[in-house]
Amino acid sequence: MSVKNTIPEKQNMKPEMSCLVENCSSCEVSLESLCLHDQAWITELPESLLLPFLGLRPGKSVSLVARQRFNGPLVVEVDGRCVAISRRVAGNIRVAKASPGRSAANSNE
Amino acid sequence: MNDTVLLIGLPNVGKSVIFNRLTGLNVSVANYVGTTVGLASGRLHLDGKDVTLIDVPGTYSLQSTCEAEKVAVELLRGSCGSKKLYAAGHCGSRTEIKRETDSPAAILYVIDAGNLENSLYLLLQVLQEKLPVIVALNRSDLAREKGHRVDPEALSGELGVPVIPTVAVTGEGLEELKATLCLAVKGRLNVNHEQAGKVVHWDRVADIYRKAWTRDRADSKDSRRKQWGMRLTRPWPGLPLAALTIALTLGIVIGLGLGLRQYVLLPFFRGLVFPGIERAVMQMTEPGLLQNILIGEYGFLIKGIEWPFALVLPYVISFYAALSFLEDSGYMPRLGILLDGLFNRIGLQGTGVIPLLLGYGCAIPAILATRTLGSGKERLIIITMVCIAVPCIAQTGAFIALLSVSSIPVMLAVFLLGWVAMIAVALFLNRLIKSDPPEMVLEIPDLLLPRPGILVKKVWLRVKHYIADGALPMVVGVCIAAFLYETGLMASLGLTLQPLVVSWLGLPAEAAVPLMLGILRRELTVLPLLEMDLTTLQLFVGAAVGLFYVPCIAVIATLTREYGIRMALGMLLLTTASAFLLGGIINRLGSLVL
Repeated sequence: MSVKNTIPEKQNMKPEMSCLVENCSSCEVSLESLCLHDQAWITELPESLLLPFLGLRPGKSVSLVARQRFNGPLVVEVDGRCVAISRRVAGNIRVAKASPGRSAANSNE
Repeated sequence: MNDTVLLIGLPNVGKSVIFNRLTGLNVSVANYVGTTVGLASGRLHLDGKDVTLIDVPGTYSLQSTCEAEKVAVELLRGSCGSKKLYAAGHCGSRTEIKRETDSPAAILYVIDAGNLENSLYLLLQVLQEKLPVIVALNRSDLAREKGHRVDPEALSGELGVPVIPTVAVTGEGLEELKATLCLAVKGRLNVNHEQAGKVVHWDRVADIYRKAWTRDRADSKDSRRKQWGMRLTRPWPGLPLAALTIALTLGIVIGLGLGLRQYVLLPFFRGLVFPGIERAVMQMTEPGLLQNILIGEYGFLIKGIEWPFALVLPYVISFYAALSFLEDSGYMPRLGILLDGLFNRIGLQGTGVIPLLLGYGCAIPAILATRTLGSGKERLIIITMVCIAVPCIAQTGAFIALLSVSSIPVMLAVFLLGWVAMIAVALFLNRLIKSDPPEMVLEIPDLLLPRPGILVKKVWLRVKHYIADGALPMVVGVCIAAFLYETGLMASLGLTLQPLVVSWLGLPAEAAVPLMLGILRRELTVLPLLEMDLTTLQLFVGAAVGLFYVPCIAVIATLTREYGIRMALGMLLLTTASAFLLGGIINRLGSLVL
């Protein structure tokens, strides 16, 4: 799984965001609103020709690895591989804190 | 029967490394998505039969949504038209593919063993075509290191095709691959087309994956390589490390280049080679025109050797050593995502940093690399930036030769001016062409420690290309200069261009010649200035004009081929106009200050 980062990345957290995923285990949020190191399961993807082929498919577990500066992309880890996704695309990806319980498509990590 | 074999797979799984290993050719390879931007073909000798192996650019699916996917589908179905498809390489290297009209004899499908699940969808699509398919389970060493285990037999059983584990960079498993390929092209491979009838769906992918994939170690700790890969991807400490990496790269390129030039190549040529040449020429010829052309002021046996081989070659070596390391380590895409937010402001994605960096070597691979960029707008911005103010490594070597001894601040000022101009041009184009901001979705490759053997080979290949495509035209250029100078034609040419060169730019009349030669090779706008006794202001003006002046003739040809004659003429006009305009302004402002 993701490496524990020893350096705090407070600057990257938006103050108005209170880690929605932690407060609500059943509700869905967008991938964009995850906090660093949060893990969640993908529930819904926008129409995309590329995302499924990079491992971002419904039922997959993702964790947020980095939020780039200057409004740059998010970096998420899925199946041990990193993918950079622009904030707008990430805003259209829905995730849930609770595992969907689909053993077939669950994270293989 | 058609005798072609297609190499197909996702981007960045090592297809080109396998291609090079099997054919003995050398197409560019690097550790990021989209290195191969055109088709390359080569002959492959199998036991008693020759086949043509085609390296198809990586695609994610066969849905024909982008150019690369369309090409892959056309090749699979044997309907590829006579498009001009080239392999990307250094200055001018290209392989033209002959028209293919039949289905291929076999498919070599390459999988990254560490990315099995995502690779299976495209493979299932390929199996629909009912052709003989052989699967190379590549990078099996890296998968083992991560604790992944893929069972080739289980996979083969599920798919109905042979699966052979390989490590392309070391050659492991390639003999078995060739033997199986041989059976396939002779029609003796047992092919089970059972999979072809089933619908391609991610659920089926997951099912096959579960049967073939296991994790060796239950609690595998992240390797140090992975931890560094993560560190370099996060803004902290990634951004400061990026600044450090760029500074270090510049230091290595300039330091190693200067060292090679000063302590190895210059002493060798000036101490050993040139005295011998001069003695021989003086013995064989009478003093006069011929002798002067050979060993005089622009003597092409002296300058024609010293400029390309003692002044420029060292930087070609040091630049490509550093660039190859960055390419193979997987660092370039990381730099791209760190800079993406900033690049967005000039209408580019962060990955635009890759063609820009390539441009500092040679503009041709940079132009070819723009093929993988998302939009036409991004391509136009990058190409304009590269043409207007990215000096190729040969020209950089010339700048250092001209300015490092006399005036380091002038050298820095020239490069700074170039960057300011690039940003200004990009901002202007971004305003001019309205479009949605680019959306990045990019796979970040594993961080790898490049293999020294492969690095040496890459540098050697690029040096060879430089000698053939760069040094030889330079020798011809020097020969022309020697002839013009010694016959007095240079003086009359200088007289014609006097209003521009002398009055507007404030340079000596003979500086008209480098402007003529510069059309042939970029560094020839700079190197002849070495032989003129110039003031600091003249050095700055001369270098700035050289920087903005037209890209070389090979770049214009590439632009015409890739984007049409209008683009090429546009760039010619833009670069010439900006060179003379800015050069003149610098001259006027400089004269006021100094």
